[in-house]
Amino acid sequence: MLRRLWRRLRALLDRGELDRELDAELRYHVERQAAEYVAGGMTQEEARRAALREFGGVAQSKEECRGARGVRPVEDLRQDLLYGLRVLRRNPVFSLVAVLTLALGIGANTALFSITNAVVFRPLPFAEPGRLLTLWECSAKSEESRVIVSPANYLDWREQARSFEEMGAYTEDFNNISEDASRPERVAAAIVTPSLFQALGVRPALGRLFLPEEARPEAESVVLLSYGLWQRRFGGDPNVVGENVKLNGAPSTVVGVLPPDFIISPRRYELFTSMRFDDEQRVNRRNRYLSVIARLRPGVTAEQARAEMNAVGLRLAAQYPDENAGRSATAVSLDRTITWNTRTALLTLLGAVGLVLLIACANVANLLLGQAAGRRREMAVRAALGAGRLRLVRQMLTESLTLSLAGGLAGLLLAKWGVGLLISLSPAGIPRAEEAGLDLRVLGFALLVSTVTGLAFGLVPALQASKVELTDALKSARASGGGRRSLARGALVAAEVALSLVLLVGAGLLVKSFVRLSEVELGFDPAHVLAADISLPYRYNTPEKRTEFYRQLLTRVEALPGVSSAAVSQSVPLSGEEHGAQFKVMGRETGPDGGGKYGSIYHRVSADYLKTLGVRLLKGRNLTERDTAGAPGVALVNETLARRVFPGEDPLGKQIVLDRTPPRPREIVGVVSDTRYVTPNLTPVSEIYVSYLDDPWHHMSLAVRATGDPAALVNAVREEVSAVDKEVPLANVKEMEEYVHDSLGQQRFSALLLMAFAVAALGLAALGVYGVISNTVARRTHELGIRIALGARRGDVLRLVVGQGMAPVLLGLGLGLAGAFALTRLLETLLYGVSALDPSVFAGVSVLLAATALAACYLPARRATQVDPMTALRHE
Amino acid sequence: MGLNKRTDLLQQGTLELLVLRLLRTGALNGWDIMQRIRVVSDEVLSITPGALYPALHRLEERGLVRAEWASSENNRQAKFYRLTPAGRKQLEAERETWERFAGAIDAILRDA
Repeated sequence: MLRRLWRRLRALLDRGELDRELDAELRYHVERQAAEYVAGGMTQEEARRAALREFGGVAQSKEECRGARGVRPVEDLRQDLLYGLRVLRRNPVFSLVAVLTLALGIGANTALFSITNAVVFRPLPFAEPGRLLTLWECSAKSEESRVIVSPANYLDWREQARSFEEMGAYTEDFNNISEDASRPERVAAAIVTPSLFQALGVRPALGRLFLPEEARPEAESVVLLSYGLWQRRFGGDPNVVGENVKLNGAPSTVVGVLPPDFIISPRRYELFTSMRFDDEQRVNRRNRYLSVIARLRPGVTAEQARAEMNAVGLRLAAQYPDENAGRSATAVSLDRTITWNTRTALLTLLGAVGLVLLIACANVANLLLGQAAGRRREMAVRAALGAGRLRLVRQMLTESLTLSLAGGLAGLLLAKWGVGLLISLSPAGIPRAEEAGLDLRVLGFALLVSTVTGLAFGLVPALQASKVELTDALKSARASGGGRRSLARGALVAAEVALSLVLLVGAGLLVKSFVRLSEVELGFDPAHVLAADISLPYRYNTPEKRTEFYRQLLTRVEALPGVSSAAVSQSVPLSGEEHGAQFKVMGRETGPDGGGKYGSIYHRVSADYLKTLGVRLLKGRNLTERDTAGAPGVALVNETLARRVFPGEDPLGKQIVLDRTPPRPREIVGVVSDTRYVTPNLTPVSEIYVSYLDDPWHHMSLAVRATGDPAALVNAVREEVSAVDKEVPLANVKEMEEYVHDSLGQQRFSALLLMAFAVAALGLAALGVYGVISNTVARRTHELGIRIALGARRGDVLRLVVGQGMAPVLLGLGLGLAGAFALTRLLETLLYGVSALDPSVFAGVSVLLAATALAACYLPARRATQVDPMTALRHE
Repeated sequence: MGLNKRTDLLQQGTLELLVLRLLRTGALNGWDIMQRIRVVSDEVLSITPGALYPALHRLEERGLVRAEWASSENNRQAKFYRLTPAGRKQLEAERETWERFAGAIDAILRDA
């Protein structure tokens, strides 16, 4: 046993020695036989030849003896690998082009997979994340129109729904945090029910989570920090637990730190406080501000839960028709809620980059086929020396796998760099993207892709090349191209063109959509406007104190040189924050939902808001400083609301009642232009403006219109805020242009990437066409020479070559158009203002692709026309 | 390609049995074995080197024979094969099987 192992080891390691031994053994046999013949009367030379003849295929015998040693497969692989490397080295340009093409393809795929893996595929960092759902109120007619939840409904769901083990809720908030009176910082926060952490099954990184009793209104104020805030503001101090901080000026105790990857929404929260429902909130079904997360009971499916939520929702609608009429409830998985649109975009891009790799494969396969023509003799010789067909195929596949793995390795380097690039390009709204990296899963993906790629582009050429007609190939020195091979190459070109066209159409649509979006009439003028967020400490505990602060601030800021106007509002357009409201029209009992109510976005603004943001007053009057809580209620509405709610009527003078406390009638005193408040791609919705003096909030945004560069005002504005109260921080200081820019971040990202992929595809396809035609021309030099000698004109030759080259291109165009028709539908949700079948995009990219292919054909074709008939004929 | 001719007359297993039998009396090299088979079988059985050497290497791989380099009669270095104890056992077993088989064939042929 040991001896055998030793022999095998020796066979592997000491190949040369054993081969020499085998040679010696066989040589002895031949010589011994020859000696016999000499003894029988032959001459030395005759005897040697006879002995050799009698021996038969020496090489083959050797091969079989080696096979008998039982290390054949490993040995063959080693040989193939060495041989493959030698072949690749002998042809460095080919190898370099192939490896680079593959590296680009595999690298781009790996980088994008890495991001998609981090965002979409990677499970959420909770126990059994598949059992986590988000619950929503929705319209009874369509589950797609989801809205967040009122506290009373949430409490009833908790009571009634049987599908869930635990249910929790949170709402967004902003908080000024400071350790003492200095260094206040405004951070995004969430107010959560203690049960939320139980539903998620999360463990704190430090300290503890909230206790159930901390949900009681009379409990001491406690706070949890996000890992990021703990690192940033507290330097990762492990003694932070138990420390006292001030939240909006009120004392609170830090009880713990959440784990670094904690995530419950696309937005990142840095502070968590405990939610307390007072008696009023417990029965409030009007104000919807809760996001609800629940964990399924074991054995209950998401579908069952959705059905139950629907039943519960309808029951509550019947029970409380005043608030819940026409409404129901539904459930969506938590990871879908967090990734939302990003998911579609990333999966689309991953599909697109996959197509690029396919094109790269087709290209390399084409190169290999071109090479195979030159290697027919080599293959024939190897076959004659005893290599079986399987062995030849394996040899070729080893070569292509060597290529693809080299490409994969280079691709990994590219990907490492590409992931960083993608993250820096990616819009802020892509959750969890920053955690993308080259982990094991990504490495596995790269390996898999490389291997599959190698097999994909290697198999056809390998099968082709191994089909050797010995005598033919050995006899003719000229590598005449087999008909089947050019058919295969034509098919590859057609496939490349088709795939490129699909990508180009997709990219064209996204780019056109992006252009449309950036040209959208926003309804406000973002140029020269600076925006910032303000949160007042709790000691501003009366509307009068808050009003006083804002008035002072506005007066001071407006007096700054370089400021043309300033305003405060509850939020600014495109900041991702907006407030909804429902209202009734006085004297109308019926409305769109049957309950007599209309929905709208709702802005609380100071009088100069319209002027500062550049929203136009179309009719009536603006809000003034005199429209306070004590004065008669007034409101402005936008065009869309006027048209929808008062078609054919004059909205001015009409009275509406908002679902806010105290409910009081407001007269519509003005009509203003529509704004794209939520996102640029959402068609205008109803908007209502009321004076912030009605109910000045702790959290407001400041907007400043500059006469020049708004960035120059930042410090001056900051100083004015401190001058009024040094405990009030200014957060999210941004130019409005940035909000506009960021609001298109995802579309820009998708359009940019898809365009890059499409350009790569176009280049690869052109290279493919060029390669095939060049090869054809080179192979047909002889024939073309004869044609020219026989009187064919240059134009004829050009037409011939280009015509033959373009045939597969046109076929590919046709197939690509059909494919694009079928596939662009997937893009529909990502498009704005352009149909998924936009004829100008389809036509434009087809022409572009055809023109590129024509150019790629023309260059080698022109070379064909310059063939000198004499040289061509002598060439043989 | 058609170059894959194996043993002409002898099945692989039979050839191996013959080789084992010839080696029972002492070490032999490849050429000797070929000659012996030809002579002993009155030229009825002829084998080619292309079949013999792979068979020898297979036997060696299976541990039934052992090879060593030694001087041949004309004073040249040749590779000599000898039976191992395992080879001896294998030979006994195979021979019994073969004898039963041959006896059966013989009996049928005689009866018929």
